[in-house]
Amino acid sequence: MSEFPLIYFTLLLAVNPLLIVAAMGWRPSPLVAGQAAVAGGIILVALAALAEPLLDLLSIEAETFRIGAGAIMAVSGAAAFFPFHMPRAIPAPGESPGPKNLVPVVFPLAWPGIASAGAVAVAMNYGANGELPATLAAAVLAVAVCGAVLVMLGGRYPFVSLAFGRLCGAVLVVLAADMIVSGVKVV
Amino acid sequence: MRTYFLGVVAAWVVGAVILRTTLLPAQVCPAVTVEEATNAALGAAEWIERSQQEDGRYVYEYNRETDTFPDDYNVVRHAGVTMSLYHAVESGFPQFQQPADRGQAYMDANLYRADGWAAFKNPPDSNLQLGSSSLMLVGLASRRMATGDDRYDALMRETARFLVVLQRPDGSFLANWDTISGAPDPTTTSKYATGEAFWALALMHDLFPGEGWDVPTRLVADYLSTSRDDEEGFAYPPWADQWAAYGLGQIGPWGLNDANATYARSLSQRFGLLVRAESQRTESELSKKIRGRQARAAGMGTWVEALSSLYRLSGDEPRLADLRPAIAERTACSIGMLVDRQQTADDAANYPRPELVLGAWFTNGVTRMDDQQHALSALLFGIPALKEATE
Repeated sequence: MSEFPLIYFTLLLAVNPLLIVAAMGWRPSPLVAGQAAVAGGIILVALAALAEPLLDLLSIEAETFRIGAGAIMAVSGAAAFFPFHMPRAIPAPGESPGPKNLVPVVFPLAWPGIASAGAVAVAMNYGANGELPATLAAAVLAVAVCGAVLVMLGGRYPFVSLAFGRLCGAVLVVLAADMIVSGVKVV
Repeated sequence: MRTYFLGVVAAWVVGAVILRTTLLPAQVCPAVTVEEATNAALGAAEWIERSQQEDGRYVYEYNRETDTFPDDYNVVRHAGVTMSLYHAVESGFPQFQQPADRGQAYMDANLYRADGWAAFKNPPDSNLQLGSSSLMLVGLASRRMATGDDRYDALMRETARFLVVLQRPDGSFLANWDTISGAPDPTTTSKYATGEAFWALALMHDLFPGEGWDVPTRLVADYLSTSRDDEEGFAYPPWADQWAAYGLGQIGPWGLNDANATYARSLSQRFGLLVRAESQRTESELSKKIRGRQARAAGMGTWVEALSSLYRLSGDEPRLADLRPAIAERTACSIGMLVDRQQTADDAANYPRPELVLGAWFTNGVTRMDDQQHALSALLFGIPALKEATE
């Protein structure tokens, strides 16, 4: 579990809950946020757990994937600087998400909101590089924190959320560069 | 919402396709056994033997498409090819001593001597290159270790003295001796020859301990480890120098200093990356456009030579022990690619001179003698790592 802090920090930056808050512009109910966090977490946990067999299937070694994962993270981090908005199709606060509106919770909030391309790349990279237990734990914690942030900050301080969300994106780009270098330098 | 969903799906699919075609194509490492690798090495050695001419030289280059032999020769590569034949002898294939000795006889006939040293001269212009003499010396050292025959001991010492004459105080080497002025050419260095001289001098110390050859060896080892890449202006260090790797592997049992060990690690990383990238290349036009053409055997062979030396070093040097499994895996991968790309009897039958196709490696229809040289040494020296990777 020695890599846990780094994996958790990187995953949280890649999930970037502040950017999701800024993109949503409204506050989800705890139930909606919880469902989205669970759905996003399932995606990240499943891909982390399946990363090794998936890469085997694609004939890609984990060391080489590290370079690709870094590239995805870099693009994902840089994307924070381009304004975007999620469609207003997610249940309003307090509304119980029944079968009719469960789909919008999964899409776009859980995917590609929480389980963003960058977060998927981080989860798969560490999952395939011998850090699966730490990655699973980090993914669970990161989506839980994300759900909490959505409930606490959703609909509030949009400009502050956007600014800090972009800052998280910038830090993710730096970590991505480090990951690419690490992928190049590994034997 | 539907449009947004389709847009996101399309973006992910396009992104995945771009990644797959650029950074993450499939890595293909053909499975290979020790026996197949050994047979491939023998095939390469037999090609060299078949290509040898009366005067001891080899077919320098052959174009199987046009059935032509360009009028060209290179004495550094002559010394290198002869060296690889001696490696085969050293590896337990004495049938190649005769052609190796014929190759050596050509060098014996073209020696230049002065002030107690000797060098292999380039016949057309009598130029004395550090590289050709270094590789001749490595070949003779290999011959000495394989046969125990001491007839070349005096020449080996003379040649080693020539190498030392070209060494500068910082451990670097000048690449040429000017026979007209009777002095080293102060303006030329070589990115290849410095490492070749390093390995040759390291072998001299192992064969003749107590004669002081370790002093210039240590000097050049430190130069390579700390300054060479900057001095030569390599943009993305470390430069992939298999000769330096050979030298480091040779001095491993003597003990490396921190700079040597750090340099050896960086070389391992560089050669590992080269093998991983090569395993993603195919013969398709798209792959060629995006990732470049597949490496020629003279290139890929040097990677295996380097990795084999670094694998050996990782057994002697605790600071590199953690790299050993990965180095073994990369070595096995590149040996698999080498064996897979070697020309078989069926391939050879389609060409006017099958004897110059069988056992060789071709790039754009052309093989050059150092394709077989590097592949031969690589396959022979790579076998211990291949054994570990396939066990």
